[in-house]
Amino acid sequence: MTEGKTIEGESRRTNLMQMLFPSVVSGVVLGVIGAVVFGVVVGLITQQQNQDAQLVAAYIGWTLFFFIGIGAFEGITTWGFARRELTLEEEHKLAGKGQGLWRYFRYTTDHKVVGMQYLALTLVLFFFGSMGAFMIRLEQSVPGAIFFNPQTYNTIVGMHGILMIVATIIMVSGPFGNFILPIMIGARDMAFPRLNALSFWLVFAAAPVFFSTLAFGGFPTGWTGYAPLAVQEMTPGMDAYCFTIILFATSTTVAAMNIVTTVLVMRTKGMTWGRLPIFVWGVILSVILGLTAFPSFLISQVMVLMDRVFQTSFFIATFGGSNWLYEHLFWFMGHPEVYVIALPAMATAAEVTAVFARKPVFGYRLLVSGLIGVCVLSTVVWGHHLYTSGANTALDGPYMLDTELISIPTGLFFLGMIGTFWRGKIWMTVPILFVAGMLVNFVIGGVTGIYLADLPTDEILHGGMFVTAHFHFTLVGSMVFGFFAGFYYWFPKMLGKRLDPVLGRIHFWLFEIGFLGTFLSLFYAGLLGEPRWSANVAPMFAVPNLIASLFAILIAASVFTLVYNVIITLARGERAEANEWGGKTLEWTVPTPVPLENFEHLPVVTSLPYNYGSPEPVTEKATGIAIDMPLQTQSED
Amino acid sequence: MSEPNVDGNPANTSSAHKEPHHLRRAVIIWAVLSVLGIIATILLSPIIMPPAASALDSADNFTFTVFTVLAVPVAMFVFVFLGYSLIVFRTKGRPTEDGIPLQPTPFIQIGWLGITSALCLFLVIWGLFAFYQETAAASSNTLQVQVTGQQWMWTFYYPQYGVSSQGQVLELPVNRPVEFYVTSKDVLHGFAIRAFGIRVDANPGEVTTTPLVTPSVIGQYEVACVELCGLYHSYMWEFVNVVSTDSFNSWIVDHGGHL
Amino acid sequence: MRQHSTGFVLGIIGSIIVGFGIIAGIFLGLRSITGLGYEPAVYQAQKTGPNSATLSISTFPDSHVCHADAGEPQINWVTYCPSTSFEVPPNSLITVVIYQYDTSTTLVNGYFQQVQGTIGDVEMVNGTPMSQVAIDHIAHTFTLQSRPNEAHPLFVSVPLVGVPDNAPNAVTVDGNPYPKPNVITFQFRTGPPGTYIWHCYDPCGGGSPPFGFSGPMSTTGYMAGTLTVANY
Repeated sequence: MTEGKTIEGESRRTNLMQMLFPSVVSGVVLGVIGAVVFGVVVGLITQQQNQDAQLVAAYIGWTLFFFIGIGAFEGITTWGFARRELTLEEEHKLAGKGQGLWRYFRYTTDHKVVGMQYLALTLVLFFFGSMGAFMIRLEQSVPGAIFFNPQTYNTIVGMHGILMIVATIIMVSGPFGNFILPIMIGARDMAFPRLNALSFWLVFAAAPVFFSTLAFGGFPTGWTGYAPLAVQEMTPGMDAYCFTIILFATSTTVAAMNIVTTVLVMRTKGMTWGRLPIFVWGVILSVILGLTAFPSFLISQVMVLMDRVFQTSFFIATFGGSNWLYEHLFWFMGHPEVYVIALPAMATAAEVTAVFARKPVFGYRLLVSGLIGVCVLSTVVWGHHLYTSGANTALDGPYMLDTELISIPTGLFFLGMIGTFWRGKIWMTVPILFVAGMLVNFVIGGVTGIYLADLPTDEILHGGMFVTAHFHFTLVGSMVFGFFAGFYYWFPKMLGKRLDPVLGRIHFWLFEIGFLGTFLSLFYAGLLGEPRWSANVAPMFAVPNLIASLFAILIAASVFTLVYNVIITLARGERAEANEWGGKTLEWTVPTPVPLENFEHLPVVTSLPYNYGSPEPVTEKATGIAIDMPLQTQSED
Repeated sequence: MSEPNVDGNPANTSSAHKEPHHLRRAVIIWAVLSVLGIIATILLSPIIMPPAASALDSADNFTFTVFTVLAVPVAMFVFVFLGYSLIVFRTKGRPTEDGIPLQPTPFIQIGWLGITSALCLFLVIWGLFAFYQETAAASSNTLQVQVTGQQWMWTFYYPQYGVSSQGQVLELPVNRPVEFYVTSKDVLHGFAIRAFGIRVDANPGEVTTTPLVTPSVIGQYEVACVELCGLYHSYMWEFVNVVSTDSFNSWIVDHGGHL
Repeated sequence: MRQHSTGFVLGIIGSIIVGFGIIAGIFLGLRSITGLGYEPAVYQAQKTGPNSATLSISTFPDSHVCHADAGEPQINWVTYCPSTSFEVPPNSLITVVIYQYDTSTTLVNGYFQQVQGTIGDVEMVNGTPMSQVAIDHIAHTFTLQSRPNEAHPLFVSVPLVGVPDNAPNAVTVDGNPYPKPNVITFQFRTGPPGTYIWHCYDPCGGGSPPFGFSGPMSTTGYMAGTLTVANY
């Protein structure tokens, strides 16, 4: 009997070890050990004289050992030392087969698991970013830096900015680009499953690095991290910001390569470029733009870190550097970056509208041309952020031309959207509400961009709250609303449960009314001349700021309503159908929950998934897509 | 009247007879709201915009009004057609049939692209014109002011008179063109006078200039810093006193300068 | 369809209340992190009469006296003592006495070598009146400035004369040796109650500009702070 107990006890212990290692738990433990070791060693080498060097070394140690601990190197070490590739069984295990809920806490390669991980991370980042926003509105509700010391406030502003920027960049391409996109193009997984897991865990690993800035004095530069203030800043909290960006830019590059290759190579038979769902167009254009733009961001932060740690002088004028160099490197990323955020959200809105208006997308080719136009033009407009920087004005005219030109492809998007709504049979669900809100806000946001694109009026508005209100109207009022449209739309497919529509409507209305009130007031404050980043709001701007803060209470209530909705739905929500909304894209043809390899037999596509109202005979399963069975499987890995 | 923008779908013409003329209705609503919006813009603009103290700022206020007048019909297009669709074409619960598969005719495509391009071209030309107007050459009477931005105060020096500003006040004579030469001693700052409509960054190690501006109204205005520069960025303000030429001259003499 | 009972409504209200509780918690948490933005305790000027008060402060080349339990690198930061949050009575004549223990750092902006905004536009340096100081003999400045759009602006800027570089350590403060200080006195008048900020404009933060403006120069509690005019 004792023997049996020992064996049982041992197997329980081994089970626990197997569960915890490798997993995020072992990753964090080893990462912390690595951080401490590297930090101490560099501290000894520099004799405690260079705090920045110590902190950056600690971050490098954290990252390296985190990935060792989570088992990221398993494939490489097997190839290098065991001299073989991973077996199919090992690959299935890596993809989370038979691991239950633990697969979400591991280095899992299944694109659906990565998509869920991204969704959870996005929601968490949005939550903490919102908290930062409420702190900002609190401080700005009355004149004087009463609630927070200005230094604390500057750090909060910077943290809110970066948390939201990271969250909005990954919000559609991460959860839906990973979970839905491969199914939508009829593939079994992404092209590079292990890189897929890497892209997620890099963002995860960046989170503790970023939040550690609170322990090291924060950073005073806001999310743009302008040198020379970034280099001047003595407290090492600035290094946390730079290192976070380095990790994040690497993550987006890896994810972009993955998505581009998947869409290029792994579309199912019959899915030509002309039959690609709009959502896929939006995501692939966005990641191609990201591939072009983010390396610039990465290199600018490497240079800032070198200025800080090694006292180089890329950006310090007294030693021969130039702050305009930083501005160019940053905004070369900074402008395409907002379109990286925008394109997937716009495409999601088009996708959702077709389904809920029961109509084909109005002008598919026109809409796709619009997205491509936005993608291409956005790479040559960054100079409009430098109109008033004092740099040579020779290119200001051309930049103004390009920037105004982007309104043309954006107009094509509006034409497509309005045309899809027009004469449809509109099912007023929560996703459609968010699309409607998105269009209303995007018009306001886009039109106010005109004033900023125009040189003389930009001289009044640059660096003021008008800019803040403009980019919140576009990024939050439009793109985050587009994300929520996709969130409520794809939630039944990803999690198998139905989100409560009443709570969804409450969420929408609180958000929209609060949002309009807050940011329209801030537009007015910006017209009056209120500068950005004001810990101390001047008395002449007090009234619009107070109104904005009061409306922000509604936004806060909307966030908590959403959290409540998600929690009770996960706890005891109704089961959703496999094709909850009657959509025609491929993800709605697979069961919920989606099986490990997505399709039993890969489908063959014969048309765009938007042939609503078509007089053609309805094909099998009324989806307009002929399923050929059986057929040869694709020879992807 | 059959819908002009349907791709020859036979199933549509029968339903068109029973339907009210949605497109006509929506266009009328759009036209009425646009006109109301334009009138509101023209009436509200002087109330919303802060008073201008230079010709440059007045021109900018005018640009604002013009651009908003152009934007109103564009915005109304989206609001009206979207709102009309959501109200008139909604279904109760899950739809039992599909909508009409509309596709844009070449007329719509070319017309839309043409109108948006024309609007865009107008904006660009207007902006370029206003921009080149700003780059007027300095007159012989220009007042030069050297602006030094530091964390966290602006200090001013008048090299033609050998006098520095006192306290947190920038003194300027009315109706005299002034050119600001801006630099910084530490990090980036943004030198902005809202009432004049000028703004330029203060860069360490470089001297940048604002456009030539002529203060035209006597009064008190503000200089703010509009580029985040650290702890007390939001306290980095000074008053601008635009006074008569005589007051200005006596101010110079009182503070140790030479005329 | 889902039943929407009172429990459901209570759930929404409850989650909103919990949410605002989380906001309050994060607010308090952020404020409690001293490294993030440090405001020392308020130091009130000594009233010497119904309409006058004296503010007695010091500037030290390190933080051993006033921030004795600070870690690296703050322990080596120049600092004003005993606090940087001052309170003075309204409508009064304020006399400020500064004991200056630090050596000089050259000004980068000659504007701050003048004495501005004091009574008589002079400061008393060890008993001698001065209206300006050579730019390389200044250790710190005490520059009081107004908040934006202030109805009753105040502006006072005095350069604080530095002790010679090779001065021997002659006095001990709280067990720490320092050279003999320069005693600098000046006076200004306050108006109605209000809040003002003050700041040093000599790049004394370590290293040449722009680094001289970081560290203690950009940190309240060291070389920047507030002056509140209030009744007490």
